[in-house]
Amino acid sequence: MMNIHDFLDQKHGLCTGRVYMLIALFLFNALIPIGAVMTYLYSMTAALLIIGVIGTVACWAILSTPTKVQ
Amino acid sequence: MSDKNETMVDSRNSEQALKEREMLKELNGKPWLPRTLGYIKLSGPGFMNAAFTLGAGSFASSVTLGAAYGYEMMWIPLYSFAFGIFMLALAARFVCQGNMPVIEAQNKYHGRFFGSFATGLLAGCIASIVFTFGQYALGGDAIISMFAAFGIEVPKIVACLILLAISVPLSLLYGSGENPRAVKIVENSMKVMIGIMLVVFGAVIFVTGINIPAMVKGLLIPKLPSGLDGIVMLIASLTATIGVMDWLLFNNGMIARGFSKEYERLGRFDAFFGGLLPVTLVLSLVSVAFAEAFAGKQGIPTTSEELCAALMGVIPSAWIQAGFYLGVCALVVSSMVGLSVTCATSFYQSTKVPRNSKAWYHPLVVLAPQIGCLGVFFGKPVMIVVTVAAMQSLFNWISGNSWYLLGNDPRYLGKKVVGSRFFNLGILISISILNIVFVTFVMSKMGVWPA
Repeated sequence: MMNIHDFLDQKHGLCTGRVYMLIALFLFNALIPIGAVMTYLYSMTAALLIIGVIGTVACWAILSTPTKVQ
Repeated sequence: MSDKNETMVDSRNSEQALKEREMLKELNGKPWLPRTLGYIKLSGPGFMNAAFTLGAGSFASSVTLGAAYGYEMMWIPLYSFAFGIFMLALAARFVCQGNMPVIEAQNKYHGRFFGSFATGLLAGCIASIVFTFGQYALGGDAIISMFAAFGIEVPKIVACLILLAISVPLSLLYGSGENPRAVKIVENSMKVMIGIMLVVFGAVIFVTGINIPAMVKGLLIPKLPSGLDGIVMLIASLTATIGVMDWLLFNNGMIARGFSKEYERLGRFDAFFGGLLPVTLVLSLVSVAFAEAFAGKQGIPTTSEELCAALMGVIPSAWIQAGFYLGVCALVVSSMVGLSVTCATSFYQSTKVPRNSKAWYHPLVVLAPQIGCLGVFFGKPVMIVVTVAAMQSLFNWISGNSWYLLGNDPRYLGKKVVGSRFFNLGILISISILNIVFVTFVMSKMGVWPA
């Protein structure tokens, strides 16, 4: 089974896992202000804001894993 | 080996760098106090960075936040720089452990769009030129107001020439960091300017008064501003305090000083002691002065003229008024020098133009941002500065992601890749701030907020 180091530092298709996770981090980060505007300015659901915050924390947890140097 | 690599090796082998390296080896083995005192003596790039960060953008942001929200938003510069310090520590890692300048490494591993284009030419050179207009606008008004305090009328052209006369020689002296001794002289000048800012803004606080419990609460407990204006101001403040230009200046300042692997600890110390502390202190003093002066009043200064005149009602002494304006001048001149240095160093790293201080084009490269002297003659530049600071966020996040990847790339740093989860987390939080600032900026331009 692939561990987290292998996922982050090996190429999967065009990019390494870290690049895909950075893209995911950007998308989750984007959900935070979008969700905040929907929740606080337009009194709509807070789901996007919550997904954004949880996703951001999850991406931080994964991306903060240091590279394994041989 | 490329020209840029040779530059790194040259500065590392300069007489001054070799002398400092011996001193540093000795210092690293000493107890805390003598080591700290020695580090203070050897510090420099951090002060350059602080002097650069303390400019018209961060000043205008602190003034408006202080005037509009009192003590409540004082956390913004502190937190912004505190998270930014992870990027500065990463820059120290690149310079001390890497084998090539960071823009060249970005070009090699991520492509020229991320390195030369986004980090070097856009965020380094073009932004330097744009930001200098705001520095001159505020500086020009400060000089005119300083003389007006004594009843002397000074034309704008004279104010412009005074600013040029101080910033051009210092910018040329530093150049793109060719001469470590000249670099040290400019760094010391920046320390003096920061000292002037602390003394004069401290004197202003002495007159306006200070609410210490409110200041401590405002500094440590984050509170979000309300309304569209508040959000735009938050974005501008976050990007005005620290962004890719600050990382570049710190990075290139360390290269110019010949930092090598023994220097990494000094680099991190310098980022904190020379960067975070002075920036937080000066911006806090400015915010406090305007929080006290504007408590319970309507109207926030929006032009550089209004900024300069805003405090005068509560400062009765002409000498303290002049001191305040002198502080503003020190603030903008130090940024003008930093902008010229950032422009020149980024330009040489991003292009194939050889770095040659005797070449005909060298003064043009160094002094390109000084075209901003035209800003002295503009009408309402403060909002331009705020807008450009917000636009800067567009490029910050591109470079931030690229730097994170380089920090974790053994091809660039070998075994010295970021080895700690905490270090990586700090970098990622900085990147998330940049991402959110970028998205919020785009949303504000799309008119997402109701009028």
